[in-house]
Amino acid sequence: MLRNKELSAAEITRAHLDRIEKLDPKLHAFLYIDKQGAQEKAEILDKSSDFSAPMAGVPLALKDVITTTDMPTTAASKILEGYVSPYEATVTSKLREAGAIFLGKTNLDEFAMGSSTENSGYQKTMNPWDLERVPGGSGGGSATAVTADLTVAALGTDTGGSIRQPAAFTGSVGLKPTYGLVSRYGVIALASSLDQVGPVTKNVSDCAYLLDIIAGLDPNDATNLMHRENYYEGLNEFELKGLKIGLPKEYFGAGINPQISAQIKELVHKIELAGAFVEEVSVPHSEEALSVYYIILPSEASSNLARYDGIRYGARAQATSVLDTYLKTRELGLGDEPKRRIILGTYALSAGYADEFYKKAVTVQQLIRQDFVEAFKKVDLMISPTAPSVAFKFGAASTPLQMYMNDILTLPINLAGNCAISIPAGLVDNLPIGLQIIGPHLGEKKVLQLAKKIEDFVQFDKLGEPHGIA
Amino acid sequence: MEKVGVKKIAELARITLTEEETAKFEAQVSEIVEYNAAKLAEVSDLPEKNAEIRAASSSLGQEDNPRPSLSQDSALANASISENGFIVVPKVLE
Repeated sequence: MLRNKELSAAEITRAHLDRIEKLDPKLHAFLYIDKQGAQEKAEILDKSSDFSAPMAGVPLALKDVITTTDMPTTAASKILEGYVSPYEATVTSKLREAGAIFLGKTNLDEFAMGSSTENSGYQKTMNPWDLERVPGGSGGGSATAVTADLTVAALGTDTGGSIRQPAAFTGSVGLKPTYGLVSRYGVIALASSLDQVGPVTKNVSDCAYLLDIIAGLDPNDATNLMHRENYYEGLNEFELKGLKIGLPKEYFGAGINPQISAQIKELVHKIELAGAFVEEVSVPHSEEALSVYYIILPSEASSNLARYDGIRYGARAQATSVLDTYLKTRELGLGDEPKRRIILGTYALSAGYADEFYKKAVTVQQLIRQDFVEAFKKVDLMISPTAPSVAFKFGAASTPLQMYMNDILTLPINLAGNCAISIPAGLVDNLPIGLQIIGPHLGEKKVLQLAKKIEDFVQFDKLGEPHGIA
Repeated sequence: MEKVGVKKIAELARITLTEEETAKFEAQVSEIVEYNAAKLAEVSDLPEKNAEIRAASSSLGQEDNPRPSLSQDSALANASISENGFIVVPKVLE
């Protein structure tokens, strides 16, 4: 559109900023809006008349754990209030070089810990489908912004489902790449062995297009796989005939809303009629995945969050000794969920318990990995629901453990390091549901191709508009 | 299973808790830990020995050559109190 001069970059940016001004006071998706910066960059681009860059003039939003030098990065925590990073994330640089216009930073559960965005240290974000319901988490801000057309697309991070589950709850597309495909340099770490940055988009095409830009070599990330592939090219060249799809039986069990399971299975049947082979598979150690995750994640997080002490950056509490500075700063600056997980992690790693908890969890993690390896010997891709329920009302989770259950279908994939996407699959009780496609290691291309085919079957746009903002 | 001694653990993690928080976290953390322990105990094919924890191997290396990094100004820009190129903290030694 921009290249054809139908609209200028400034007009597109202005239109999005206007919509943000109109709707974000109701939705609270953004923690920071860079009105001036975005307008200026769009105008500079227009003046240059050079729209050859792959994302030239496209307005984007970034989850507020992705550092930027011209906007604050807070991880939705008070402990980083006003923090402006002295360097930017690799994904930020890649998108900036590709010509993208950053509209602002989106809300999340504090330090990406949560499944509803209710844990944000600043504000709750509303689901555009029903303002009394959560958009999911931890990346609720990005998902809401994309669904409500406040931005063309966004980046999120996914450690246990934080891109995919909000995508399912809001009717958007969210991809968690294979661990190591996308650089984590400059991304505020939660669990370094599980975190991945990924696209949050309105459709599968945009997702593939964005992945092309953010994936690939980064010498600044030692866990980077240095893998280069074209995801957007050939997206539609995909044969369903002969494709082997597995339905992991553990992901359609009693804890899942039966209407969701049924709709997913209906869609799978359509794919079967088009020529794919569908069989039941098993990833048996998924039963223990939640526990493994809630030992490994807090352990890594307790280490990663040790740096927030008020000394070198972030908010600092007044105190008369260095120790008291740490204690008071962290007491005041960190919310309940970070405190809870730091305590869990410190406990799991402490002498006398590390063998029983942390090391055992890592041992079982290998078994989970092995489960996926075995399953992918039999099938090309797996399909499951993304989340066990539709978006729930604010305050619905009565205990932390109950909240953690929201990720039972997504977190095993992070533990195994595989890739997975959530795409809108329909409506249940007038709320979006997500279909998850799980791929083998570096299997994003096939995952996206199948996602595109299913998207064409679903035609989600025709099913309805987010009622909350109608 | 004994309740998790949350106060001591929080101290190790450099977090002070109020009495109310201590009680709340003790209950919540204990519930989660118990759940996790029970689930792990269910694993029927647990290997005899725990897996070796090995750092992920990486072929990404760099020559150990110094090159430009953050300037002193940008490194100090976010410190709440700085002076003459130093970050100011309360006295460490008496």
